[in-house]
Amino acid sequence: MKVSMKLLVVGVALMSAIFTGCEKDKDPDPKTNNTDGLTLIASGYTDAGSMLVKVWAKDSLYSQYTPLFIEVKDSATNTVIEDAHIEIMPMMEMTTMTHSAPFENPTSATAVNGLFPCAVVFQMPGEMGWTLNVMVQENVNGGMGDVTFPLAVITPTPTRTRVVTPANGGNKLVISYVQPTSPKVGINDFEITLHSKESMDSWPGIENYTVEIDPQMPSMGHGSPNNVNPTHSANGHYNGQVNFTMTGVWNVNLRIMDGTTVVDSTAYFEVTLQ
Amino acid sequence: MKSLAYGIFFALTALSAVAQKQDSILFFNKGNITETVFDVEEILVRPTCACVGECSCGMTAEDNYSENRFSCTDAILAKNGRIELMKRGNFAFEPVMNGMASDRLNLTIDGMKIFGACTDKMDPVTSYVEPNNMKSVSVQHGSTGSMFGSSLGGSINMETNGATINPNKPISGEVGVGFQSAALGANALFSLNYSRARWAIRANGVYRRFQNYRAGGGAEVQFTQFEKWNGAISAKYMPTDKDVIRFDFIMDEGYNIGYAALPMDVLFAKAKIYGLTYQHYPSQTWFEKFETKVYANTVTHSMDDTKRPNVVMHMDMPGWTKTFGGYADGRLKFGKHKLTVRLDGYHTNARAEMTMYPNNEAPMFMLTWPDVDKLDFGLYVQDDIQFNIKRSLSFSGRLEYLNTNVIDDFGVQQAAVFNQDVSKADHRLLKTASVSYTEILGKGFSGWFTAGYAERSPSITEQYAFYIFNAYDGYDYVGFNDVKTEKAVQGDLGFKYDGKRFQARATGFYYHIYDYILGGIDSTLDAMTIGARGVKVSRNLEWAYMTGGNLELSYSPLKILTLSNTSSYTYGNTFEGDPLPLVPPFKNVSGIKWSHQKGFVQLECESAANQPRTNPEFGEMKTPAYALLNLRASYFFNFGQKRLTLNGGIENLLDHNYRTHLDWGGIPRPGINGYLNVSFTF
Repeated sequence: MKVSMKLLVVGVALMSAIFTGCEKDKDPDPKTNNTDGLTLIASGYTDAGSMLVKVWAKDSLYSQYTPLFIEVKDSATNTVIEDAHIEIMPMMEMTTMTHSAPFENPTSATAVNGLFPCAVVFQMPGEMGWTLNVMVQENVNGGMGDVTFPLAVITPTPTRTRVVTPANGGNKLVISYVQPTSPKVGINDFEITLHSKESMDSWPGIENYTVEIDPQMPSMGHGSPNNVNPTHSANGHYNGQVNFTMTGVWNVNLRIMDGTTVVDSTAYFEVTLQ
Repeated sequence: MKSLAYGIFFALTALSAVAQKQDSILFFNKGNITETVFDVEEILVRPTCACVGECSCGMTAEDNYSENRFSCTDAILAKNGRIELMKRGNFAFEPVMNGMASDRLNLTIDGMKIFGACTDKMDPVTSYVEPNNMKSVSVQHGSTGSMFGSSLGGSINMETNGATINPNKPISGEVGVGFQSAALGANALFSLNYSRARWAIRANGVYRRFQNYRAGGGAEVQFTQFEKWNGAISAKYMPTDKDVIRFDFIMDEGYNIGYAALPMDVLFAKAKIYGLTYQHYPSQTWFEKFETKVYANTVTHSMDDTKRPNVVMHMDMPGWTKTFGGYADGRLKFGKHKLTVRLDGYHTNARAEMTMYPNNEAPMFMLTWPDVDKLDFGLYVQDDIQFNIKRSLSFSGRLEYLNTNVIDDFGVQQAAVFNQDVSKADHRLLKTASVSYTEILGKGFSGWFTAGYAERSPSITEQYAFYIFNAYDGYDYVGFNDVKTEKAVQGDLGFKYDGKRFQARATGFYYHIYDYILGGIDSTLDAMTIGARGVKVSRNLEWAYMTGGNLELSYSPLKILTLSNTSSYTYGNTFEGDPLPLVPPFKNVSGIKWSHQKGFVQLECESAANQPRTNPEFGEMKTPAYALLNLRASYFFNFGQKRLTLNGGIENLLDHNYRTHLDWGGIPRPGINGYLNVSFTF
């Protein structure tokens, strides 16, 4: 009995040594797999500063709230740059006009796992016309430059972005669905973004609206209980909880208010639980 | 799961080890194993019912069965004055005893726990034993029935026939066919017993096929058809004169069963029931009997709406239960004391699904029973004290531990929508105790009273239902995980007079039920079912009470003539003074029977008062009074040892259109119905 205990202790010690050893081995190149599961959207060199910029996303691009991941490498050494100030600018060039889109710059100059997360709400689809400009000011060598990528954005099924003209006649409102991305029966975190079209180039997040949600099964005519209305968290994001009582097709109906004034009550997002 | 199996196994082995120590002495008092002695003794030695106080041990199936060879089990039960039947179609009625339905009763077959797999209770356990396989039914009221499990209303245990060891008659059996007119119903049955010196095997089967029946006045009642068969095999082996080993297998399958009062029918209902019993009759005078049993059963149920018109959306609703368990009990005798000790345990799993199929859309799926495991252990002790020839006292008590778990995470997530956390095990300790006193007050005149306390755990529907539609009140039902254990304080009182020509029996009961479980409307919730009126969530009413009684009178002015009269009445209220739902009104059955050595003719009048006391929240309808006349007759011919029996009759002679208060959906019962059965026993 005692012998086996000793053996066990030795075994555990050995194992932990091996595992910590492995972790240390990995340390120098921790980002080998940081883009696993991501799709490379675009890649190109900056006009100055000798940097290779790659844009990754979770999927090909759809007209919806889209998290993007910017990877920056020193084009000479091919080392990943993890300390950089990055600004993005999405643009849509149409025949008669050009406009931007709601977007979120990386919040930090330090990369997460070698990537700089940011986001764009592509409020409309476009096989051609969308571009994304990425400006990088890296803090390792002090290089600075930018690169512009053409993007193809297609329409998702079901619709994940609604652009509505408010009932009270204000600026156009972009409502975008963020989650649940894998909806399940039960309680789901629910998140949308609200952005206002102040001008062609200015689409700031709205922070002071009230949002009510009402999930309904259109083919059954019933809803679900105990949903939590989304409230503003940051940058135009509204977080709440949506409950689904069964699989099938649900519509999450929205009612968006500015104080007591109804801004919109037509928008909804369809969610299918398989 | 495994540990449970081991637990039961060890418990049983431990007890059987105690039993094994006994020395061998013939347990047959009368010595030789002659066929008759054997048969009779076996029944006597193995009491079909350990009655405490007022209960109905005497109700052997044979008495009632002989009147109509093709009765259904539920019809036989209904002859007990305190049992009513709740009807949703023309098949497998749910028994209601003392105003309490199956959630508040223990329904067992040979002591085996079996749980219906239908969320709409379309498959009560009583449908799995056919009368030609039933030896007796023991009915015990309230807390006195706790030998078979914790319940408030009492226990109904159906004892199956089993094989008969009768070496003098190696082959015996019966074949029969029957026909009835109201539903153009056909029945066929057989049983066959083969016996050698130390073992016997018996097989029996029933097949029934009924069309839609016609109600009083002649109108056809749609969706009341059914087809079913039931088969059973029983084998018995006696290695010694004081040991019996018995194996039973019952298989029951129903198809295309109409449920007129529900929005759906049953595609199929299947049950398989296995039991292995060992009985030992020790030689010591203080140790009368030891019995142990292991059992398992599965019930599968599938509903069907494809034959219904105007179905908005097709849906599937299958349900399953799987149960296994065992018990060991011993009957001991010390002086004036007769002691019964039973240790039992079971494990059951229940799961029910609902999938709806909208056009061109993803199917909608939910778990109406979220895959629930129940693990239960119980200890039962009964002490019967015979002070003297006139006075006896009985104590019984049961302690039961129940552990309930939702094992499918899907179910846990579902319940979270109602802010209910069902991820953790639900533990309950259920306590039952009763005391009964019986005294012979005079010649043929005796009286008894019972006082008891009982607890019962909530049913799976009451605890975990997820939008189960109740067609009676039109509400979707949602369970409540933390619903409190229901408790009752109970009192029973009875008198009996057994004269030469006149017999009378009067009983009264009162159940004061605390934390009465009843669905309450939650107006914040949306109904799921299309057309439902809303959602009800299980809750505990502060208290409710149920009281009633029955009176049975029988008078034989001549040896061949018997007049009988049975009346029963139940009254139930919530603490707020509202009537409890589904309480039967005053009912009376009067009969006049002319008996002959080879048969009888009987005219029976069944009547019920109207039931104006309805629970409006339950959507109950008032039920008008009715009275029916039934005429029955039987005659047999003997051919040596063999016998041909004819029995027939006309039920609802006046073709009255009626329904009873417990019938769902205002669906009328069958109108005039002639039946004729022929059976041949050999």
